[in-house]
Amino acid sequence: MKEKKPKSGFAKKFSKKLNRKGFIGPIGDDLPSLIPLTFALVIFFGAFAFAFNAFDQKKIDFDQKFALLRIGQTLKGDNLIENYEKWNALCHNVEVRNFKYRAVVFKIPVNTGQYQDYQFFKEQQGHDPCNNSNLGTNCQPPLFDYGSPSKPQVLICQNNSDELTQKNAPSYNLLRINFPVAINDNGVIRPALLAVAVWR
Amino acid sequence: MKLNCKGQSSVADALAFFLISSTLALFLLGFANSYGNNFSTQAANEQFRDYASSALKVIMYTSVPRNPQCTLDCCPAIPGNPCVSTDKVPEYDFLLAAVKEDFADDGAMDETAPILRDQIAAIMKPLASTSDYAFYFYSGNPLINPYPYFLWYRTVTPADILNHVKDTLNNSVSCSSGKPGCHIFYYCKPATKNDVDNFLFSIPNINKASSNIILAKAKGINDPPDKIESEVHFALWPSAAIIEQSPGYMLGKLNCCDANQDACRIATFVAIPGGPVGNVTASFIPQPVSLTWNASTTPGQYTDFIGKIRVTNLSTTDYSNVQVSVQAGTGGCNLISELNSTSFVLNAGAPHELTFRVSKSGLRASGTSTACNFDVKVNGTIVDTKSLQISFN
Repeated sequence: MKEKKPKSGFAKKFSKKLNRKGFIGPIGDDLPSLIPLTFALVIFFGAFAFAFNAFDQKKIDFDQKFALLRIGQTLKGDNLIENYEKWNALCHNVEVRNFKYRAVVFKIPVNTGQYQDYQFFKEQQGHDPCNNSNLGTNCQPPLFDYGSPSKPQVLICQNNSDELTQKNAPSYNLLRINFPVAINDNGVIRPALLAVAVWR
Repeated sequence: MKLNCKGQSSVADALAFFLISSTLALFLLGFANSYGNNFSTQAANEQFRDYASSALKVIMYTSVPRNPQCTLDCCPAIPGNPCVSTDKVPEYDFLLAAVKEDFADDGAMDETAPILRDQIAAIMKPLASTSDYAFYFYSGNPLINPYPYFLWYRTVTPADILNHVKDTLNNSVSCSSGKPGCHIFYYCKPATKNDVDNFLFSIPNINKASSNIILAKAKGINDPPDKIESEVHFALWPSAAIIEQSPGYMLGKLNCCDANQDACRIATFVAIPGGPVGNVTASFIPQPVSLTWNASTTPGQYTDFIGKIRVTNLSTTDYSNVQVSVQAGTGGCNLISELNSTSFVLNAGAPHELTFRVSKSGLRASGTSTACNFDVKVNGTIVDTKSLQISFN
């Protein structure tokens, strides 16, 4: 028969502590409480990170919307574009840093019942220009030009010359707005549309 | 005894902490989700408001040809068809000037009504499928027509299909499918400002742009014209069924008719309840009459056109001193034989018909035709709040 070895001082004290009810050690004693504590922290910081990302993303969206409205309002001015110089001056007043933009002015037909919106994506642009003899549904409205074929002064204002394609459309997150404007075409005031697109 | 055991309270504390942090997390998620919704709504409203005010300015800025058969690019122009003419448009004017001129003679904007409609429709094309709008002039003067021009671009709702508007849809050019969601232009003649206020009040999310304008109304050759301080309004709202007592109630209340229908060109003069009794003039511009080449004559003459004007008194009171006159308007005709009826009594409910003849002198090449414009005026003593109806065939 094996004889029990008498316990040392420390072991005696520890054994005494262990025998106390509910006590499972300095960490072990709090182990059950650590589980909800950890979950709580994970949930809180997870929600915090999600909210932070959401705020950040929405801020970018707001900035893009603001930029869109600001560009539109700057370029339309008093809604009358009298000449190319005025358009140019308005274009130089546009200050947008973090986004790419393109703004164009195109004529709209009156009394024909036909309307073609200007398409920014290359694939959606019609092959032929819309004019008096071509009112088809698959034409591209030509941009208003104050110049001549040799020296065009097209009403376009942009901070890049990227070609927008539908293939890459999701990455652009393109926003678009139209404003009616009147343009002075050799003394005749015509209705036209100012189309502004802003993308990332 | 068990309550005194260590470790029990720390679990309770942790659970309390879990509860608090979960609540906070939920609140944070909810807040993050709804963050900026108000901004998005306000940005969309701002966009609508901006569009409405821009549209109003552009409508007033634009030029129109003096010849109603021409557009800015084509003369003569056939609506909905490519331009085949190489003629230049001879003369332009500001649309606002044309509107003022039109109003000055008879207090109505009947001649410029289709031009205004086309301009507004062109400018509103980008929002045509998603928005309804109303464009109107308010003269503010009950002695004259209070709403000389009222155009309403309205969505056809499912309730319209099931109810009385269906009859209108069957004959509608712009909404021949009769499907909900298509739009119809209506010309309206509201009798009072209250009717218009109630109409606008019933529309949710409305964005409105307004401007003051001074119109002039001619009195006589030697008298200076009356200056009428008026307003022009453009109201724009997302397409939706408006809140009304019954389907089509507002159409009736505002006295509207489909602008694409010929019958809608009937000029209806509405006297104001409690307003003055006296001579008033209703004016009516019918569609141009087409005179064709008479094959039996050589080298060629146009065949005369014989038309009928029907004037109906829709009130319960007889109108006295009624006189109908047909006069040459702008257009290609050299001569229209004028008709001036003698004064007659227009009995309540009974139509009165007059025949007139349109002719054109000169020799023409074979196979040609020409369009003749003319207008009809009815003078009379209107003593009731009912309308005077003029039609032409």
